[in-house]
Amino acid sequence: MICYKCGAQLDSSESCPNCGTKIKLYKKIIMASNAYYNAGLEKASVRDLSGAIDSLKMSLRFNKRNTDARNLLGLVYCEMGEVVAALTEWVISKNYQPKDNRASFYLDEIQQNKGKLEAVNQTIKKYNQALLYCKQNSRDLAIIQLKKVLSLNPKLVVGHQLLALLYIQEKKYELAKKSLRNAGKIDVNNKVTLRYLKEANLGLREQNSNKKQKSDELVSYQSGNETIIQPKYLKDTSAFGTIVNMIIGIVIGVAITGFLVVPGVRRSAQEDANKAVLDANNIISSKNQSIASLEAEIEELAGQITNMQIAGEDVTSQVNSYDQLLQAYICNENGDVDAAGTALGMVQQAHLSEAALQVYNTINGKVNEEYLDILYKDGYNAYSSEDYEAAIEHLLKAVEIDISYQNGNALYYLAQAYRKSGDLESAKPYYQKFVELFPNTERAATAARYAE
Amino acid sequence: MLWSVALNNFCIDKGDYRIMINFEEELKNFKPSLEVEEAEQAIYNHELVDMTDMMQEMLHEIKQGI
Repeated sequence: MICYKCGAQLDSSESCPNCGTKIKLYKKIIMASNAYYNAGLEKASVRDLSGAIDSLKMSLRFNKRNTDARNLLGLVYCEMGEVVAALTEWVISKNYQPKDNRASFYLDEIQQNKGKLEAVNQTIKKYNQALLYCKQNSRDLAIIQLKKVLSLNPKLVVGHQLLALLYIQEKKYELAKKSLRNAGKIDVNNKVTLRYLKEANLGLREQNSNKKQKSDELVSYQSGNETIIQPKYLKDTSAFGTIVNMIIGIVIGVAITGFLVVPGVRRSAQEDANKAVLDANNIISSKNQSIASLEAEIEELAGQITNMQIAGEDVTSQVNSYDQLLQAYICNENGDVDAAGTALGMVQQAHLSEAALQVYNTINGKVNEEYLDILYKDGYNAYSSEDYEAAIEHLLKAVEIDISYQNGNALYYLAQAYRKSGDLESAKPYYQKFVELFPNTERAATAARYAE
Repeated sequence: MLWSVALNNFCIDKGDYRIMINFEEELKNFKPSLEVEEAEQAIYNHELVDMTDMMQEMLHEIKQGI
């Protein structure tokens, strides 16, 4: 302890050893300050922060130079989220005691972390803004703002209290209680917190009793010596009731599944199937188109092949005709009239060129007469010898070259050869032809008779 | 229960035992918190008169009176 006048160190005497000032009352003031400081420290140690603040302020009222009290007060303010108030106390403390002061350490801590200080400053500004919203009756905005503030600075006791007050006003007592519990964790004996908590509890009780009154109608009656009190609308919680409820629940579930879920699943399955069918149809259609085009191509190619075959056949036939014409010419030169005539019979005049046709006509003119004569003679001789097969062979060739040869004799004997060989059916057309060509002859009557 | 009833006997309005919070009145108790920019002013405005100062002034007045 130092003298308040001269600053000299005091002893146990009632006056200053240096300046002689009476210090009895001064000592009492200092002792009172220290007593309040001790009380404040005790309260701070059990987290009664608001109580500690009262005690420490009282301590400082007695002795403003009580550095420990001031530093502790700053610490308590800091713990309650009031950082600037804490800074104020520490600055004043450092001012009164520049050396060997714990406040220097606290101030250095804050100065080193300027970002955090700025963040805390922002939360304080938001809190002040929220308070302004409350005064402007914008409670919703205030609640939103306070929630933001408390998420950034959860130690701000006044923030929790203001939020609780807003919730109580909105009759959201549960939320108010939650906010007040958070405030209570920081400052356990805060009067405002406790008062609001009591209000919230009363409010909750009222809300619950109102709900209870609507449904809680009791009926009491005597049963022998006992008084039975039961709710008016007694719920049957027996097993039967439970089973019935379960069955109803199952039925409802099945109905919901049947009417809502299954049609949807079926519809989607059908859509998938339709889509698959459509895709398949598209594929089939495209395949059909390609098949049709390929078939058309095949047809065209087959036609081309046929044409080429025909052309080939024509060429073959043409070549054959020329071969036969050549053969006929050679045979004629060799005097083999029969062979020449046979060869000429196989020539197709349509395939011959003009020059070749002339040759054909020349040879034909020469060969025909002799050939026909030979054919007729051979045929007649064979007929006469009853060699009808040979007769038919020779006479048929003759008739094919000249149907009227020998005034129809070749035709007549041919028919006769067929008839006599037993083939009347083959003979009949030749008989008919003979009647048509030579009607007024003696043989025509005979032929007519056989032709019928 | 008995404590609450006894306490309420000290209330001015005995008709209602329930403590009602008046929102507007409570709101008045909430003061804006100090911001960093206001710290300097707060330090200057801080009350720094303690009992020792008052005692010194009293003694001074007494001496002057004498």
